[in-house]
Amino acid sequence: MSTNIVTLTNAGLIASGATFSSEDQATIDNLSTDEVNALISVSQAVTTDFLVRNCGSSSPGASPTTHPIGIVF
Amino acid sequence: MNNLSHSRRLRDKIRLARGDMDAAAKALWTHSRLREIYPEFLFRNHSVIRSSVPLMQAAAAACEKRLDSDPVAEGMLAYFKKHIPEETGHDDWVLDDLETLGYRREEVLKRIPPPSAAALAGAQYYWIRHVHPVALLGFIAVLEGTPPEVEFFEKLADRIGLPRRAFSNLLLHGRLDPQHRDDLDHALDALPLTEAHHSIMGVSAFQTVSLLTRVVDEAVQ
Repeated sequence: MSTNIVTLTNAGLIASGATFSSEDQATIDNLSTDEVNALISVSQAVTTDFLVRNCGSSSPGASPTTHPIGIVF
Repeated sequence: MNNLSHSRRLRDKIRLARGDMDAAAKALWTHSRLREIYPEFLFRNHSVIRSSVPLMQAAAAACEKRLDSDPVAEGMLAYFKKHIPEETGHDDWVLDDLETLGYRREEVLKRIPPPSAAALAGAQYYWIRHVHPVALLGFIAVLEGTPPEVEFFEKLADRIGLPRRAFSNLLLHGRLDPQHRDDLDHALDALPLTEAHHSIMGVSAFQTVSLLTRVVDEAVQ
């Protein structure tokens, strides 16, 4: 496992044993230390399973939902 | 070495991190009392969208100061100069929607916005002023990254028995934001971004996803 995945798993943000597409694995592997720390920081402040649900069931090209958040720019 | 385009790299990061935001969206739009919650959602939407143009103006001003020393400033400034007029007045669309539902503009504007919305926009002022204006592109990529689907919101309005004109903000953005999303991607891909820029955009995008989720979660609770 890559360092980033280990760090995020240890932080409880990735479910233990979660599998990833090669695309998602590369995205996680290429996160900078600051980005990994940011994920940990905001998840501690806001929610306990920031990445668990999405990363745990990630599949290539999957659209997570058909519902846009609706807060627009 | 990463061979993906700048925009693809940013979009991939957001996609991985947006699980809770999507869950919050689903909880909102499928809520059994959506008709009652919707005005509060609009208020929260206004609390955020009122900062769109001022944030871009702040980022543009920061870019202008960096023009002689920062290779990305010129391209970012061009993007903001084009996008500011495109977004001007959109906060009024939300007030129009609230007015359709019987909420007077002056009363809406008297309400103190939720701290979560202030934190969402306020963080961007921090990044722009103290770190780098490129952070705002991570924020915009999240907010314009999933355009409202026109048909979905037309049917939703019909289903909960509210006039479609009370959804004008979402319906108009549904027509505009696909182009705005593509414009941002093109702007990103043309910038001479470094790994440090990518990192700042990523941090900003992750924070935006998190705070945006909170803004919507609070409306549902």
